[in-house]
Amino acid sequence: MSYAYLFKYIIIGDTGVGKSCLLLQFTDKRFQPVHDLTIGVEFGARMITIDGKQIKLQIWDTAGQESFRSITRSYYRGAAGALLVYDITRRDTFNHLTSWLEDARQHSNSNMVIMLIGNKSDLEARREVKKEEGEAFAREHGLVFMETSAKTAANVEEAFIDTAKEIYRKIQEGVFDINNEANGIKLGPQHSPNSPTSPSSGNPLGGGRAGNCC
Amino acid sequence: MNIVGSVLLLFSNEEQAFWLLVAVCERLLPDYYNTKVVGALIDQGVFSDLVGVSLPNLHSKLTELGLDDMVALSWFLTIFLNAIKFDAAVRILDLFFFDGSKLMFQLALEILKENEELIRNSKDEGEALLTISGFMEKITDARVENSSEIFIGQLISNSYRNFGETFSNKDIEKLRLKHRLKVVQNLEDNQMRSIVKNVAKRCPLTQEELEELYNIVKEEHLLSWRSRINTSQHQKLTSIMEERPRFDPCNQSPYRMDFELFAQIFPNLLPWPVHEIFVIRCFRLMDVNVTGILTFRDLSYLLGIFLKGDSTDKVTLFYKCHLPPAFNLSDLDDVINRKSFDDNEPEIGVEASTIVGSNKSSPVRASRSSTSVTEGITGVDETAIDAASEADELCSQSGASSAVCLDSPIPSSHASMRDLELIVEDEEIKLPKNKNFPIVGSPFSDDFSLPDRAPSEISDSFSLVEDASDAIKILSQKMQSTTLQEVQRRSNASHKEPIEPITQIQFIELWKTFYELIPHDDMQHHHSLAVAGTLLLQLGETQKYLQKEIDDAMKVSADDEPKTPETPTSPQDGPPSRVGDLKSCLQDGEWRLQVEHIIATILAESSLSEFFEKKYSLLELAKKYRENPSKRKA
Repeated sequence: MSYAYLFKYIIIGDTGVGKSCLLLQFTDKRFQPVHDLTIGVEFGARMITIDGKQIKLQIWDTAGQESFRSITRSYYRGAAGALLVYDITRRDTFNHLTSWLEDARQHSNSNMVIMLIGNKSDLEARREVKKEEGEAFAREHGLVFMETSAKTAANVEEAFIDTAKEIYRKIQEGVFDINNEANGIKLGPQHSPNSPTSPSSGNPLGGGRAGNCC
Repeated sequence: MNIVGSVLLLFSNEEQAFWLLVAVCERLLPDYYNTKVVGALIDQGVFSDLVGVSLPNLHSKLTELGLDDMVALSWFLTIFLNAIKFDAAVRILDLFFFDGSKLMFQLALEILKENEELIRNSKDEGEALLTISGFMEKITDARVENSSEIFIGQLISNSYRNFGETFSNKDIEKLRLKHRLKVVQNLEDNQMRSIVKNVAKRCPLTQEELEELYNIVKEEHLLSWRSRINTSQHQKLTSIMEERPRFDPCNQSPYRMDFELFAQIFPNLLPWPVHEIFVIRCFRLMDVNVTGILTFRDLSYLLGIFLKGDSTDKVTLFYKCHLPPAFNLSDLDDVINRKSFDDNEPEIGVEASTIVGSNKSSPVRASRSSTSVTEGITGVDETAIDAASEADELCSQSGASSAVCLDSPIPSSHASMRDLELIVEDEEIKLPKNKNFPIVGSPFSDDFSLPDRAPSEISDSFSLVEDASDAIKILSQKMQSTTLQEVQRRSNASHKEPIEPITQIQFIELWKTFYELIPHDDMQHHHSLAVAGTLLLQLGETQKYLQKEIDDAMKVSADDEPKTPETPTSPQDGPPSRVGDLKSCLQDGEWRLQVEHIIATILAESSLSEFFEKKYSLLELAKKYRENPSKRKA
């Protein structure tokens, strides 16, 4: 399957906020209540369409555990978008956002689009972080904000796609240098002049499947 | 580790599971499950090497995709339990205990080999990863003919056939050793970079300077950690453990400083000599959580302001070092204890000052045999008059002459007292131009002494104080019109929370710190400091009497000049306001100065403001520090 652009994403946030479940919901459209701990990094991909153009999202799902920080840091490099996730039912995951953000800003390219996500919006009864707080944080740090639920799939599509739209907009505006792969954006095979002529084998998984989630 | 442990518990009892886990953690997968998964990172390097030897073509492709040192990370960390269906993974675990870590590597190689074609045709790293993970999902423990499933037994036997003989567990150990240094160095570098970058945002020190500072801390840490661990720093170590993990990278740094290390590094990187008590105060100031541990950020904050800050910030920081919690009344414990401890001290004090007084025509210089008090200022020193008078007054009135000025918490003041005794009893009095009056001597600072005025110049000195009090008027007007407001504005902008006013005793300590910064032969600065000090002492007095708003008080200090004359300078008279008197300091609840007053006064003295405005290069100081190994204690 060919694509016009490939965007590289990274999902970050404390352990247990639902990063892997968001990815699973986005790539596989399913929810798994019990999910293994992510070890190191995992990976998923999906094709979306923006402005009539096929865009492949390549999503790196990182481990939230502190031990893996040194590993996940190397994935910021070359990411065009980041989903910074916290859990609305756990205040400390919200409190740690600044350190995640600092990490992201420090290790990524400056144009990286960061989307702030308050996950588990279905657990309204156990909410500890108000929506307004998330909005305020996003405003303060210049992020896009959204509350999602990986369980009910509410806003999950939007979160990934809106981020892609923002990146796409930045490309149109010429903010991103699309020829520099360090920005996390790649032209598709038919656009790229020096790529192998035909993707004969194609993507065996059709681009719509998650990797080794679970 | 929890994943492996839980599987072990499924198949064995608790004790067996425990010992199996011990074998994994200590022998088979060393350092895998520490806080940074160092062992797993090392093995990624090892694995990459093995791929390079056995599957060179694939290796270059993986390197190109940037996957060579990550593809097997989650496999190894969980001994495939996380990556392959449970039934199949258990068989791997079984063999792993039989054959050692070699099995893990050879199996990973086999997996790559079986996918070599697909991986080499992948257009990007995502495709390669999906290929591999798709393959992993198909591995089962059931042998099903004609299906796309992959039988684990077949995979394992293939791995033995292809890679069983290529390397041994010993080879892996060797490779691990080779990569360990690289990985650890890498982690350290990354950590340094991330800490330095993080700290640099709010620190006037340059990146280069911070890196140098970081390296010094690291070196000192490595040089001394053994001895420090052995010498019962147990309490401090536990406080590290108890600290809740936070996300500040500085807190995760292994190179945090207890006081011993801080005292080793910090004062030696300052451009001026400082007293040990000042180092203690700085430590207290930064140690907000009272953990006894400072981070790199704390150190760079202090050094950043002291070396690169503007004069307002610098003076404010000095000021804060003399307020609680940095300032602690127990610093003066010796003072209070000594009063009851030694009854005849007051007499000695009086005697000493009497001698000074009675020898007006022949100024004395006391030569001292003790090493604890050093040479003070040579040459005629009328400039330090207020300090000297303060001292005289203390001698005669409170009898705590050396004690008030005593900085060290260690009972060392007796040395200077004995010196005084020596002076008096041995009558070892010579007659040079003037006398140095040893007020403070602690074996640590070894260089703090307030010079007494030459008695023959007392009158000069008086006139100087009069000059000074004239200056008060001018200054306070000046301050009121411009500086004070400006300073207040500036400090309001930079400090959200108001800074507490300073008490007299704290102020005196602050001034003593300032005196120590200045070289003894630097008359000009001593003079300026003395003038500013007198001014501020009187300002504080005025405030005490009038109890008005600060601004009012400042106005009045000019009008009220005659009421607070230079009485402190004539000790025998017993002035009504006993500036610097220990007793009155301790009881005094009203003597107060604001930080703005102090900053404004210092900035009004051009030589002082220059002195505090001066910027220093940490790199140069660090160079000196390294060149001078004598400062580094064993």
